[in-house]
Amino acid sequence: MPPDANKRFLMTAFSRHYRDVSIAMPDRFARREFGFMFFDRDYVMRHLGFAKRAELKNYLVDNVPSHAYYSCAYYEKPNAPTMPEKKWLGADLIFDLDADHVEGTKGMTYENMLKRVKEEVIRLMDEFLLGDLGFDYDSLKVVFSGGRGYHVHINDPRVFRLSSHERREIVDYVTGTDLDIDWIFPETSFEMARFKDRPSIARKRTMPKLEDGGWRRRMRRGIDELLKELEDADETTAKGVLAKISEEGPKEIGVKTLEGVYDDLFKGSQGKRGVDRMRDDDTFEVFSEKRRADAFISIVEMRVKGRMKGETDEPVTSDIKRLIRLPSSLHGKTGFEVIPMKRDDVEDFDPFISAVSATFGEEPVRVSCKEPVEMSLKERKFTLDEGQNTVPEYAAIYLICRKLATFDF
Amino acid sequence: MDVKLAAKYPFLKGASAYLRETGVDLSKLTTSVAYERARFMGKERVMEALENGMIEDHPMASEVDANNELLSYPVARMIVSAVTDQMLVTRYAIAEAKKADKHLRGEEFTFIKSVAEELGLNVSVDEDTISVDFTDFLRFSAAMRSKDWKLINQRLQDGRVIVTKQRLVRLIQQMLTEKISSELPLAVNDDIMNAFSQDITVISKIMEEKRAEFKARSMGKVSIIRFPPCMKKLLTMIQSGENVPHTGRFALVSFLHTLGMNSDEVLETFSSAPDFDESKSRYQIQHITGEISGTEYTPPECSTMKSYGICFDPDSLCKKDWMAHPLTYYRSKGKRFKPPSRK
Repeated sequence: MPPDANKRFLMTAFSRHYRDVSIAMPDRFARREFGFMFFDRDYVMRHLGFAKRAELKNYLVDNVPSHAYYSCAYYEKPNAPTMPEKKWLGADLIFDLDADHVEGTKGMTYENMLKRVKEEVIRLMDEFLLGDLGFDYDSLKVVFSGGRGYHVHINDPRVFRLSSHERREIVDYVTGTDLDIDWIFPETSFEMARFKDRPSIARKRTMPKLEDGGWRRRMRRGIDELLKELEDADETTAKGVLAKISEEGPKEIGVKTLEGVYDDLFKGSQGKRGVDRMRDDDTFEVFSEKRRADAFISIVEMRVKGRMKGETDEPVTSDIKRLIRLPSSLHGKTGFEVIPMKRDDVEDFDPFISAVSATFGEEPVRVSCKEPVEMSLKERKFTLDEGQNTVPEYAAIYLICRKLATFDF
Repeated sequence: MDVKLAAKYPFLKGASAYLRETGVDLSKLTTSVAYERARFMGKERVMEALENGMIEDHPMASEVDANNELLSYPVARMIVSAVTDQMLVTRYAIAEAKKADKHLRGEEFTFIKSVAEELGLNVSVDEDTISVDFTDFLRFSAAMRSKDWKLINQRLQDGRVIVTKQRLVRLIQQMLTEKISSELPLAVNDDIMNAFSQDITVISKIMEEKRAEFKARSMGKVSIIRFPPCMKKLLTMIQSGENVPHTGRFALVSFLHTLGMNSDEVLETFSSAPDFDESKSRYQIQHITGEISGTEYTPPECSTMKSYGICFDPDSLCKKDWMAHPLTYYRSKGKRFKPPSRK
């Protein structure tokens, strides 16, 4: 299959990138499997190993892949053709936060989608990886994938040998999957009254304590924040808040139930309202119906669980053999460079500035746009009409990779 | 370490040190008349593990009793090693670990902590809270599949899981199972083979029977009535030409293959699909059954099915605490089935 003009143009630019850039090598790269896809071949090249940095560099310059990957696993023989022959030694722990794995990104523009995913990356790192799980700041690396999201890599010897099942436990932890509500609100029995010397025992659910840590703390914090927000608002606004949260959830809760939740919490005289008893007596038994208690719990859950989906087609984190994008390589569907960074660089990272390869220049290139395009790259705004336009090379690469335009010669 | 303690925990370094100090010659264990009682007790140890999954304690009225009890441990390991059967090794390791677990539960915390640490589990104590590193917790609780062992339902702070004394003991039991199964089989010499040749024959025979019984109970002819809801649903979806994600096809094919269907039979099952593409399906199926890839895949466990979003309409059997795998469902459906033991 001879490459067409678009592909030839991209290959020339990509090859320049691979020649000039210094590749950020993954740790233990000699033990990793590498895989590539190409502009001019319709198969995936896998099971490659590179003993030296220069070998990988030469391969990239000579073959100009459209996509470059390496294995999160390391092997005794990374270039052996089958998995058993490779001999698995261990694998990094990696979270893949692709737009497909984050709720509510459907229908967003590419730019907004990446912002939405970034928020989730920050939450994942601050709340869970650095928070509950206590990983070292220096063991975490964020990588912009060049495409629809970010990867978070954890380089900590304690996680290398974790099995797929154990990794899934971590995924479940950060996505809030299989949270046991009976554990969150532990039941204690207490004596209600004595009747003819026979104690009558009732069981009640108590509130989770902040000092218990983990999801008990997360749920307690969620409850405290929600109660405060509802209390500070007037009745109509508060009920609106509840309705809005419930709408975003998987199962919408009926209006009557929501109003009941509000009434049970905030109606009554000051000091004796449900919310007061919840706070003062540490009890969860303030709802008049089970349905309302359940609704309250699911609202809190929805608030604290975030938008990372536990259900994905390819859960990278538990796949201990999967291939992941090579930092400093280029993404063939955007032309963006795959950029590794530290946690503290994430907020200010803007792929539309920092992921444009420094090797892509300003020379004017003629392209043909399929429809009008508005975009911003390298802090420059582009407003392009349908049809022929002349843009700097770096913009032409982005437009052609994203199939928003074709190379015009 | 005194002999009674050593006999209770014969896997500890202190126990082997005790044997060395008292001048017991392990090479004489197989032959010397003096060790006849220890040899007998060692055989019993293996037989009990094999038949009951539990090793009984014996009264240790005297030091001689305790000494024999202690020596029965290395003898048992020799016998298990001589049979060279992985299933026996696993069964034996589990029984030994359970025996230790029973004893440990009655011990002081400091002793429990020292055992955990000797086995490689770092335990922190801060006032009254006991905690372990969460990655250690994950490793040693991987066999415990009930929801109260899930990481999300633990008190987790700064990478440490807070555990009770009972849970710590349970983790130790798991570590011990792994330790003992990884140590066996030991190298065996002719002396051992000769000394226990009769027992080896008997045990091998029992193992064979057990294996046949297990196979008969678990699989037999593939019966769709016993399929878990997820597999039933996937099968109907494929047969009616609905779009099934790759993970779903993978799960169903590996499930059918593990039940004993070969590639052709699986292919035939799929052939009623309106969009059936024989060559493409054949390739995919042969990949999963190992004819192309060299790896025979087993179906994903329940938690993976859930993560993939292909756990459909779980029924009451699915919701049992011990249910963790579609194959377990198949084996237990419609049988009087003893759930895997768990504490």
